[in-house]
Amino acid sequence: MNTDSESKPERLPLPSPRSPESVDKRVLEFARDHAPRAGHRNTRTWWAGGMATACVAMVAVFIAAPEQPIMEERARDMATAQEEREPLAMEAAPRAALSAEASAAVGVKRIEANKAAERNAPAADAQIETEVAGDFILDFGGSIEPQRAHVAKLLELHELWSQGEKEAAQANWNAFIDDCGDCEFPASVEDAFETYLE
Amino acid sequence: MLAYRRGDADAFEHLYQRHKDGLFSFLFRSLPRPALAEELAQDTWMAVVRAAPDYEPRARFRTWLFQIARNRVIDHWRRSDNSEEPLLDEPASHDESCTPSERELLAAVAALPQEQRDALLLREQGFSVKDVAAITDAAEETVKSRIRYGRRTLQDWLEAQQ
Repeated sequence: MNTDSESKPERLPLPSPRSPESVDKRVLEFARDHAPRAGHRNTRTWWAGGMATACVAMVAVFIAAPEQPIMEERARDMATAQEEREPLAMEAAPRAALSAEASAAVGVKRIEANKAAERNAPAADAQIETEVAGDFILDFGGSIEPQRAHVAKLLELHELWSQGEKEAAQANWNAFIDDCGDCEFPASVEDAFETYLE
Repeated sequence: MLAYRRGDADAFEHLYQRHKDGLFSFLFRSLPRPALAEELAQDTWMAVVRAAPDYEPRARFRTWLFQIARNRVIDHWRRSDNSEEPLLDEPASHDESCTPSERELLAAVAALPQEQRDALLLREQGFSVKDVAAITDAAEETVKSRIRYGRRTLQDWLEAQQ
């Protein structure tokens, strides 16, 4: 159903002035003077995914690997200490034994938790990578679903295109469209760049 | 924009030529004086240039561009504490650049609440309701409602003029 705001309403008779030449000149001059250096790339974004993954991996290794033997050792020490104390303080034994058992139990639980964290680390990495990659998802709008694979493909082909490999980029794009049955992409890869990567 | 980010200065000119008039029209219609529209158009494009090194295609360029421009318009009204907002019966300052009927219509547009005015003017630039919602950071239903009320107010005003 078309609402009055979604249908193409009659345009209001508002003025449509062109951008003044003085502004054009100043803006273009500014843009030329401040053009990013060739080869410069926003370092924050390209290494963010790798950095996030590395951080998670480091934290997982730091927590799980060194603590596991330490915790096992600590649990053993506590058990040994308890054994040593037993003959000397029989009257205090029930409470001390309970405490040592509780500590050992906590130690064992932490070891198990660490092992579980280690097992889950790859999943956590994948989650972070997904979130970072999500930043690159474009709004394809209309009937075209926003899909990371499409964006990645377009960026890859844009790179190819900008290296002068225009025919290869177009051929690659044709194959991509053929593979992507229901997708409604522009036939020309250049149009796709203009539409989605402008 | 990606080409410009890689250092291709000509790519920016291509982009600028394509969008400059639409952006200027939007600012011209949103602000009470052409000089202000010129200032904010320049400011908007300079913001685009400054953002180029960090640019990532997260939305259509045009949507992003108008989002920057609209923020500049809002900042302008905040800075001036609405003191420059013309009233409906005040003469607009577009004297030389508009016909009398255009001036009157601009004055009527300026008298709309800002949210309605922005939604209506963005729609006039050919943006979809979805795009207007993205630019104005509002729900689509809210945008539809703003456009409907704004348009009705203007139609009433136009009919009253005839």
